[in-house]
Amino acid sequence: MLRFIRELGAIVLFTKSILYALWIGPASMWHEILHETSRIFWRSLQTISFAGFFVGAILILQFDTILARYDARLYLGGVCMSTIIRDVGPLIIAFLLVGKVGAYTAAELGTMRVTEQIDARECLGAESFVTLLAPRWMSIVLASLTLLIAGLSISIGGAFFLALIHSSINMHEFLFLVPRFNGFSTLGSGLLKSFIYGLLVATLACFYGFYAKNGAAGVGRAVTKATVGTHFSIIVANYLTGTLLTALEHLGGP
Amino acid sequence: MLKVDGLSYKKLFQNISFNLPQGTHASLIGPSGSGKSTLLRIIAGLLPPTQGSMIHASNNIGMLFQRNALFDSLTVEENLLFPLRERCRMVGQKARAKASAALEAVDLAGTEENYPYELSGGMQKRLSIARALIVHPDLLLADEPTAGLDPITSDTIGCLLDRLVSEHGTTLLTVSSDMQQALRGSSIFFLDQGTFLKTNTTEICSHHALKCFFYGLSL
Amino acid sequence: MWRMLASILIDIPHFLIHPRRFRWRETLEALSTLGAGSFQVITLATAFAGIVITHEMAWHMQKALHSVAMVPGMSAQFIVRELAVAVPALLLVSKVGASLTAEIATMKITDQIDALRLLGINPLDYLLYPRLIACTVAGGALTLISILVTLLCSVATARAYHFSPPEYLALAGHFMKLTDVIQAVIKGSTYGAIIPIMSCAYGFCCRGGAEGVGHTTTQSVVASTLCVIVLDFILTMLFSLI
Repeated sequence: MLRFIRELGAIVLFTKSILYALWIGPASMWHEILHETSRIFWRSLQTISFAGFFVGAILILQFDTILARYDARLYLGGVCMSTIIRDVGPLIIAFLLVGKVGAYTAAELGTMRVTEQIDARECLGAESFVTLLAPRWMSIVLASLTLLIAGLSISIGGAFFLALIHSSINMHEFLFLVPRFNGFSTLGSGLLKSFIYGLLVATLACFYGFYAKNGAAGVGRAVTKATVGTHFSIIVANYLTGTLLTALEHLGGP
Repeated sequence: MLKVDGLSYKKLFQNISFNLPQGTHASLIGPSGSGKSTLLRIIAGLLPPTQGSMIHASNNIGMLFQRNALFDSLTVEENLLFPLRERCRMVGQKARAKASAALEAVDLAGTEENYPYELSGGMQKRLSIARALIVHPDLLLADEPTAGLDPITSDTIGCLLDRLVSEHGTTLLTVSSDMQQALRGSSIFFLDQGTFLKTNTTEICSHHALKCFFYGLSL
Repeated sequence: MWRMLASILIDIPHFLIHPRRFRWRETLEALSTLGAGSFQVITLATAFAGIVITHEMAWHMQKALHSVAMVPGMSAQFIVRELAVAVPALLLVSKVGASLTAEIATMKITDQIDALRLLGINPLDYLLYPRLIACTVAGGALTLISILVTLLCSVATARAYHFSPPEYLALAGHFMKLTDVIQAVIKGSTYGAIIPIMSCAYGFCCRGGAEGVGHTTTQSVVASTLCVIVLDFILTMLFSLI
């Protein structure tokens, strides 16, 4: 338990250093950040799209069965889209991001650390936080956000596609109630969660990768810890934001 | 005893044949990338040759890997009990006694509960020797046994290997870039760009290529 | 990597026919490590997700019908059919898949796999099959336990919408079928099976030092996650057609 708190504290301090480095870094850093963001985006887009499509498809199938039992097929379009954007979509796509972007970065930084490249860089005058970590972190945050938005869009597409080809769904019925469920609150919730998940992926991947130790086994351990840690933090973040948003709705609602 | 006949592997080497009587010690030397480790792996049965055949005295072959290949999820003692259980079907008190004796023989008594990563390079090497020899192999293949060790430790390991191997009557084939280690053997095999030479330690100078390699001169 | 995967898949029937290859000791060890380490956290995490879903369903019902009558039904159904199946599996991918790949990849590049082969042990027998059996069993069990715990949390959450536990259970059970639970357990076991297979396939063909280990572990996590998602779709489709 104590170790967990210590690690949590270390992560917070780490984040603080990164934010500070972003603040004091040269303007040219942002050029690199955008470049890196686009690289991460294009590298991961295929996988995220693939997964997003299936997530949308799965949810359509499941809700179709569930709502059919209540004779409430009418709401299929609205409820399904809304669930994808608000909750399940960001969650599962974030899980994939953890692998594609998070584990990748943890592995990259871990290898650099273990093969002493980071030490070499520091000797040559390149301070790690400003030249390596802060750009990496920021580009992952930005890339994660854009990838999640892209992924959610493809999920909606996937849901739509399956609704089209699934014989027993009426398209008119399907689209009718979509707007009712998918207003600002839904989109806002989806975006907020995407942003937070992106922060988590970036922070934990950079933290565990940067502080990897002990050779090849250390790199493996760093990637594992980054993956597991991010997965569980996403679940906790999902819970906290979900509960928060529900409380806000209740306050703002009736 | 090891008899090798016409071994070839892709473009690396062709038609290697030699005979190693039981209990002898041979060294395989040559420049990096000449295929020495590959040849060793073929003899161990880990890699199939493109052509050729081998005859071993028995199936009991041991190998010392360049990076020790100790099982890092097991303690020192468990690393020794493992081959006893798997190869010799020996368990319980008898196995533990044998493991203790093996550790004593390599001067690692008292480290039973440690994990391999907690040991120094020389200690890990000694443990891998203990693990390889605990099943009394008829043939021991050693891939760079003294790589990365300081001169004194290299010497210690070299003497230890010689002593244990002669105690058990094991045939020993070593791949080594360390000339001092290589000269411990009675036979020398030289492999370079497909050329394979066999000679005795005393007759190195009669082969031009071998002499140059030995003295580190370029041809 | 595909060759490795294919050779593993071809080897599985052979393993099933030859029970002598079965290693009790390692299998029990794998089961206990899995149970001790993963079950509580994963179940807890799924429960958290379940609480959020219950609130979500309530929101939807408010929007749609301006009443919360269907909240227990919808939440419970969604939990049993999808949430408590997919989320534990994805968490298992990270907890079990990543660490297994890292372990085997490290063993591969430090020649430990060759050392095993030299001792006459089939690395698949020693490393893969115990964990395959353990994970398949654990996958099913985990799904079942997750369903139970998540439903419990959902019951507790529904109290905020004025559903007492007996009310919840009555409404939830109304349209729930036993086949739902059976399908969930089958799905869970399947995901449990695919994770060690993918992890080992990637681990066994790792190449090249520290960088290789990192690279292999990353690829394995991504591939396993995708596999779970695609299998989820296929199985859901299959079950919906039955």
